[in-house]
Amino acid sequence: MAAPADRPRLAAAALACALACCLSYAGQRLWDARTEPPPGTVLLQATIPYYWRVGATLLHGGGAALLVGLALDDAAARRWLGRAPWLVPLVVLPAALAMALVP
Amino acid sequence: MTGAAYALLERLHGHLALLGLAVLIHPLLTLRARAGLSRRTLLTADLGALLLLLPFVGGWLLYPSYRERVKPDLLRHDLPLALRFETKEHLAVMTVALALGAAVALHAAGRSPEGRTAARWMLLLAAGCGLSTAALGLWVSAGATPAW
Repeated sequence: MAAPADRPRLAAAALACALACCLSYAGQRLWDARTEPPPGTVLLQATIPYYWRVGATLLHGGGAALLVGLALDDAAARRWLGRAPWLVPLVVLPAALAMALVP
Repeated sequence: MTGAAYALLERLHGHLALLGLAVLIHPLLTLRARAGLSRRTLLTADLGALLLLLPFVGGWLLYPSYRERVKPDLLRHDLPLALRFETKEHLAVMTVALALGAAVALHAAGRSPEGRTAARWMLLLAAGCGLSTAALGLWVSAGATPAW
């Protein structure tokens, strides 16, 4: 296995992608929940919203990674990576909690 | 998908995911305890992410059969359990995104303290979401009976 390189922009892009995926998925689910019939009233849907949601999540994550990778220089990317101890829980915990409350 | 194939894939799905979570403990502990980055930490971060990605893909293969054979019955007879399954799916997406992000961040910037810190926090939240996913998965699989 190759030794790790020093590419903070790529690492910041990976962080942005992961966080954007969490936000995008939770946001889409909450948006869908606004107009859904009550749970249990539809036994089988014609389409599979989960697949569409994950597909859109991948697009959003990829877009965020591209933006961050192109927009930040190495010093700014390092600063963003250093903010992970509060940034990651700040994004992921509310999103996870929302998914527990709005299944 | 036949009932036997569904049962086999479902067990592989669960076992691989649990194995992936167990493997993630190593990079979580070593990134906290050590100043540098060892090759074993890189290896276990990659392996953990891969072992979580594989059951996620397996879940995609299982899902059409689940929604045709299992979900309607669950919705009729045990709605809370059906809803817990949905929560499990949501948390699994977050788990895989964070674990893969951490593995890439370690490869890209594992030499720097900032890169290791970011990877550790992504792994920590991935493990938290993953453990919740596993607990919900066990709960649902204990209560759901496929209609084959």
